[in-house]
Amino acid sequence: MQMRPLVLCAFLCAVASARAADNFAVDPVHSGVHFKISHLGLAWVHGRFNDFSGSFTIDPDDAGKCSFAMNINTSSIDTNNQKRDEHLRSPDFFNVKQFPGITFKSTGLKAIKDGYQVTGDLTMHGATKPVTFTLTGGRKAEFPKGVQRTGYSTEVILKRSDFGMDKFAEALGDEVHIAVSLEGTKR
Amino acid sequence: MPDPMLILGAMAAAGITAAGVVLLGAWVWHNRLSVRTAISGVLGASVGFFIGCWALGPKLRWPPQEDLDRFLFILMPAVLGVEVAATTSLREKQLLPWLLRLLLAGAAAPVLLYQSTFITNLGPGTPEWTPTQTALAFGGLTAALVVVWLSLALLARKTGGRSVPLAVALACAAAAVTVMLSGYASGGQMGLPLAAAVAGAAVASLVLAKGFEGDGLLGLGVVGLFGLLVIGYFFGELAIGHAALLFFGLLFCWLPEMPYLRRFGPRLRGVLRVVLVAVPALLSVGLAQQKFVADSTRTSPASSETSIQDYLDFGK
Repeated sequence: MQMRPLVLCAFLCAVASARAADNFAVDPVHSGVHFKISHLGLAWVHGRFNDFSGSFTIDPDDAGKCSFAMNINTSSIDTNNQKRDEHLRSPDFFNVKQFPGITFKSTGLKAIKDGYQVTGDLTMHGATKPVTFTLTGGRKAEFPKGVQRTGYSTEVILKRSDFGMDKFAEALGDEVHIAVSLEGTKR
Repeated sequence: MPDPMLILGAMAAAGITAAGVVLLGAWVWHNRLSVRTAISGVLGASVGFFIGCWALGPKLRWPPQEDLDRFLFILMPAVLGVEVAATTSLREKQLLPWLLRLLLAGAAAPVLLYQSTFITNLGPGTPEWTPTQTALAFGGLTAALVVVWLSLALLARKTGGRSVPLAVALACAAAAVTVMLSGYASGGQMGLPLAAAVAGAAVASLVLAKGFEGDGLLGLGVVGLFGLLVIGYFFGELAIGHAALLFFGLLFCWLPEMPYLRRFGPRLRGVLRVVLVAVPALLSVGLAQQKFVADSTRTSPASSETSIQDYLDFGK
């Protein structure tokens, strides 16, 4: 009979633990995938991807249960110049008819102060490479009423040549500075 | 990315290599019209083309992942294989070489578009084509290639000269520039060593006393041109009208065989053939240049003079 409270306690703990992992869908209206790249070594050209989606799972008590996944539609690239965007979509760069998406899927998260250190596989231009970056954030809000949301952001520098995008190397920098800001709504 | 001098160097390497192999074949096989000298033509142009491409330094991936990888690693070697096979063992039976060529023509577009968003499920909104649209597209492209290839081969057999391969080389050069102006610099530039190699082999074949059987050379040029236009249109921003001008403009080669023009001598008709193909070819280059400038001005008035070439030249 003395076992009953223990079993009940364990059961409640398990339920609480299961509930602690929350699933979120990326809210594209309040999220963004931006980048900048050096032009002639003089200044930065800024751009963004307008079409992306993603989801993430957050368990405040167990980083091992957290995960992030994201898909970006490469043809939605937007640098505020139609001709340049067309060229960026061509096989000289993204080759969007061959590689329509950029995907990221986390393989491991480690809790750090104010966020997570995320490791995962980034697939772009037909090449998959492991990347590690720091996600900061995690504050929560209810907006609009009844919709729970949280957000994270990160900045990471990638070498486009690592993904087989090495054309026009003299004029355009190899390093691409990427800033991702995600707001997710709880599902 | 190569600069103009590198492109010129690649063209020179392609042309000289192609001519060298043809001349070597003529010397080794005593300048006789034979299967061997015919092979030396397609072999020379192929080797010249690949050396020219190598000189341009494209960053290719193996196994092939992109259209350009498949163009250089699969399609063009396949043309060489088919033409060598057609010229050697099967040339006595005209049906068999053309069956091989038909198979190649049918496979060309599917190979170039392999695992692209048009025909493969790669995520939301793909494949872009239904099975019916895919069948129509591939059928239409195959038919276009077969019609142009067959009609030029018949004409080349009829005339026996080098004007047809030279006209094809001219179209390849124009296609290269047009595709580059259409926003696909790395793909378009491959047309320049192709043009140089075909022209080099055709010019060198003039030393052959008894004429030159140029079916293989023609196949390499026509399929290469077709491949360039397909990747330029489906993966770049090449306008369908410009592609049609370049490809079907080759049929102008037949105009000197019309009743009135047929009265001219074979040499004059040969020159006329190249000039007639040059008209749509240059027209497509001009239209592509015009479109490029118009688009650049419309989207970025402050830097309307900036072109892909400016980027290619930067830092050189």
